[in-house]
Amino acid sequence: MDQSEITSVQLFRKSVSKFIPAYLEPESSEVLNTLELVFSNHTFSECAEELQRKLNVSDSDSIEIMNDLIDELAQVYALNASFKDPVIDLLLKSEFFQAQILFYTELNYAFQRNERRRLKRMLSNHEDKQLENDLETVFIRMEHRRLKDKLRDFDSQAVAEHSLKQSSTSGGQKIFNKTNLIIRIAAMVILIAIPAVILFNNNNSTSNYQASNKKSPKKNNSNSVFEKFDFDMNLPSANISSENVKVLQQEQFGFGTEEKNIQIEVVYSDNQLKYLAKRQTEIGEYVKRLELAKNIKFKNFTKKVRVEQELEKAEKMLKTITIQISAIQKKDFTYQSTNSKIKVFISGKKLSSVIKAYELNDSTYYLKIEDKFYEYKHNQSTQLKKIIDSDKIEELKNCVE
Amino acid sequence: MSDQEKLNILSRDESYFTKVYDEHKPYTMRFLNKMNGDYDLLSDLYQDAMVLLFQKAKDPSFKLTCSIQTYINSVCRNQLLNNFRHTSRFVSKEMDFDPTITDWFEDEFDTEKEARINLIEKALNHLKESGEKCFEIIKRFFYEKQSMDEIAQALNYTNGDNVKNQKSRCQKKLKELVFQDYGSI
Repeated sequence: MDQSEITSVQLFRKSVSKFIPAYLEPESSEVLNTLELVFSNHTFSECAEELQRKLNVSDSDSIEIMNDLIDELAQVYALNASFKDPVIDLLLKSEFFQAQILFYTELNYAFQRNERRRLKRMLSNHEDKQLENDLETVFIRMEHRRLKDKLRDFDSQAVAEHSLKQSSTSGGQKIFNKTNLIIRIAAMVILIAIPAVILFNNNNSTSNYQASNKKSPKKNNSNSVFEKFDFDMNLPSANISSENVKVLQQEQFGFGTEEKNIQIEVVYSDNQLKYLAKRQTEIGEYVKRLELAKNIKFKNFTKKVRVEQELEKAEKMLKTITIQISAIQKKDFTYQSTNSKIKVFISGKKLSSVIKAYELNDSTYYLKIEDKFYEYKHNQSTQLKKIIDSDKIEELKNCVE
Repeated sequence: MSDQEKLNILSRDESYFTKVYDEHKPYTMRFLNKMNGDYDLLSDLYQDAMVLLFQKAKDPSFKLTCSIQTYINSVCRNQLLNNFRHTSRFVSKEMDFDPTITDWFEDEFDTEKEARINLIEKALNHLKESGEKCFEIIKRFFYEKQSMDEIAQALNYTNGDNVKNQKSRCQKKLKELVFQDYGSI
């Protein structure tokens, strides 16, 4: 008997023997005859009835035997449609068997589709990773070139300076040679170090297979557009200095002047401007890297969207910083005053001398800041008005200290 | 290493897949570029062709009758000409393709069949996410066509009979998951 007949017969015997252990004994031909008789019927219920009669089993048992056999044979056929079996040939005419085959065939399609998606995702990630590595190489090379150019400029400058020195000092030659040697050694170290890092990491990542492998440099996390950039702003507080000063007044001939004091608070925001300028530079450099990455075609759409999102974020942040800088600069030499206190905003460097306060007889008020006079009013919040009138300046200079 | 040897490695080692992918991409892209200049389209097509090759490598009945490069070129070329006739034309003088190779995925089904396959996929993903071995057993048997003994060895079962019993339970669970949603089709 050939293998294929034994399959359906074997499966049938196994199913039946759960209910009738002795069913392992009959001849294969006898079993096959039973099967052919049963499955010569067309509907499932007709086959089950016939099986019930032949085997003398209960209704539910015959249904279970039928289900097991049909399921197993459907799997066999779905996995190999060229499989030859007389029982399968009979069953192929029935709808209930076709339905089972359909399920297993569609299961196979579902797996194929699932796998295809998984593999394509894997390839997309692989492409993105390669692109990341290539970008890193580009950035390292760009930095390499920049440093080379810088060293070249430095070298030329040193040569030019030496030419000047040589005409005036005799020791200049020795100093120049030593300086030049140090510069050249530093340049060589920098120029060799960068490719050495690349080569070192390439040698450590060689594959075992003979297929070509792309060499990739060591990942520089701080320069990768795919590493999260810290957009957090930690603007420092402005520095405040406060002093209670005597208000200098005009001499009142024959009358004593009432002594007056005023609290002068100076708000320095140069530290804030320095911080904002630094962040502006950092984000500006990040934008350059993003612009470069934006021009490369990404296979993984999410990576492309991420670059665009980061670019948008960075550009928004730059706008915010520009507005902040502008706001701070606009406040330069403005003031807020009451009758007894004045707060002056300075965005530049710290004042070299203490601010002096003045009051003239016409109840106008002034401050002297770094040898210049400015008018202010009580209970106001506005720009200090610089005094250019020489007579007024003379008047203020004559106030009693 | 011959292409057949590479295919043999590919059939049992998935990590080799990206290496083969990288090896053949440049030539294939150059070959196809003469027919159609859309990089994204060609790249997608190349990925599909490589996935097909990977799946074929796992099929014991598949026989490679030419080089891997020729196979990939042929598959991609045919797809381009069949599906993108209006934007592609065969202008390459290189004859590195086999016009008799018409392999591709069968992925266009009628609405009802598509819905059924989606349900089955959903049920498979559910099995996969449940963390049990059901997904692996069913996949190895139906998709990778492994025997019960091979599955037993791979998944640390005592023997093939144990796997068969587990497989029956898993199939029953799968069918329950699928048929509970069949009413929605």
